Amino acid sequence: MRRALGLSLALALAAPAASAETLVVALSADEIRIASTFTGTTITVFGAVEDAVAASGYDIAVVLEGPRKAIVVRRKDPVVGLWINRAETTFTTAPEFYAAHSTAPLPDIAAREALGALGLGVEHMTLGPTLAAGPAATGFRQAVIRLRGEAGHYVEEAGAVDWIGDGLFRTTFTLPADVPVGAYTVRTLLFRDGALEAESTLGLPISKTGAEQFVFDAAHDNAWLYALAVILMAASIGWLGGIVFRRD
Amino acid sequence: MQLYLPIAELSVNVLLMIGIGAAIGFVSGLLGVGGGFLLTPLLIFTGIPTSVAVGTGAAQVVASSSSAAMTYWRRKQVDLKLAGVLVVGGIFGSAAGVALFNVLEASGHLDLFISVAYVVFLGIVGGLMLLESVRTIVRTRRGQPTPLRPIRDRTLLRRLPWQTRFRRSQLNISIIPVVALGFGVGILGALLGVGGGFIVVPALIYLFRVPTGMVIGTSLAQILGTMTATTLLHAVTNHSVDAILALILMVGSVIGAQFGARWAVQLRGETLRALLAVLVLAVATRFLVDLVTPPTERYSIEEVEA
Repeated sequence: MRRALGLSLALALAAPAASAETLVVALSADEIRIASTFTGTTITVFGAVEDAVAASGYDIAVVLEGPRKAIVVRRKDPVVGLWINRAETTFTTAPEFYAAHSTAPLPDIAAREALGALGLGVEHMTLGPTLAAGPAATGFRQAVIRLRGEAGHYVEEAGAVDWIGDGLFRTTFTLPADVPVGAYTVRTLLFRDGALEAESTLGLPISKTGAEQFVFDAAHDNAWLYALAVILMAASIGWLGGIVFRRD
Repeated sequence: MQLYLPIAELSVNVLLMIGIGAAIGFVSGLLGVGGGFLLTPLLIFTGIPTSVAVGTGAAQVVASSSSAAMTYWRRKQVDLKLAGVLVVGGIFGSAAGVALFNVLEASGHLDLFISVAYVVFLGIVGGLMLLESVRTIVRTRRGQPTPLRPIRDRTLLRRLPWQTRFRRSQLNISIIPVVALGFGVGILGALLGVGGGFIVVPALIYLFRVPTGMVIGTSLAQILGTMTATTLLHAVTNHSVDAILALILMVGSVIGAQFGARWAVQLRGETLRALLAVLVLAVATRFLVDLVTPPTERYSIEEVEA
């Protein structure tokens, strides 16, 4: 599932003007494939700060983000004794997975406004526009963060990025068994004294493999054939059971 | 032992799922029911998404009912014409049910509707069955003979047009109520992932006076036909039938059914019916409790097409 680091040494040399530092980032695997025995995995991000202009004062934040999908969030309220979905709101571009690792707590790395502008951290990431306004919208947003946080899909870990010496850093993300599939991105940000100095983005596809993908594709692309196959399977298992355990 | 389900998109414990399949098979072998009314709730309670639970439950009912229907077919205890008319109504009911299912899912009230439907239908059927079987048990203990079934007024059924002869069951009835019954059960099957034997069997006995020997076989044939259509419709419109999960459940249930059938021989009919009634009421109660107790989490998230 993981390839050697050297194979996937993708360079990302993007730096804002007027700053000398550059980031080199690599992943421990260039794709993640989910097989039938998948129970979760890890992905490690390695990186180096090159052309450092200062001896210290650097901070790193690494964000692993899943594909963005529209979600409807509903809230149950009591109606004549029954708990029923009454209020709902839609977030148009909520990430299915979001993990932010950093060398220090995010508020210590950059100012609130900067984090908001970068969408950095669970508190600041964008979920997309919503129709609800005011305190109601906040409640729904907090619910999304809480629910997906409990599922291990929205994570923020300060101190999870380690300096391993000489401008090199490393962090390891844990992907749970029910990690959503799709096109992920690994976004690495370099800060010095609260200012963003360099940024790098790498792609990381997470996909089902072999039989799992085949079944999923068949169910969606050849729905009629798939349905007939399932019915045939059901009838023949029932038929076989009747033959094998025939009692009359 | 964990296995990743491609349609449900989560990992489940294979042994737990085989166990659920075996338990359903045991109950269906013991009590002569499809077991869909237990399977769908159990899958929902273990965290399988509701739509996948209903669609996959329907596929499992196809397997269990085909096995049993075959046995009754060999004994010539299936009225194919009656079952055929029921299935015609069932296919239309199934189509209406799947359409309603999709509307409810889009509006966010699917789980509520399924819970209420389970509470109402299982509550009524379980309650009536429990009353009847306990009465029979008490009478047998006292040595009183079981009274004949009360004769209901069937003049309305006699007056309806399209009177048809069902030769196997030695019946002359209008096909209108037969199609209507099939239609209603088709809707229920599509919404709840149940075969509906718990409604068809009493209706055939008490409403249409189908001879007892024909009832179970004909009901099974109707369930097989209707649930085949339901599985097809759920798979084609919702893509919610998980073939891997269905396979695990079917294997478990085929094995469990054999043990259930062996036990069934040693128990009296009314005892079996009382057991089934208690089981049905337990499922209904669980749904009712979930409806009225304040949930630990009031919010829920559903992904939608943008």
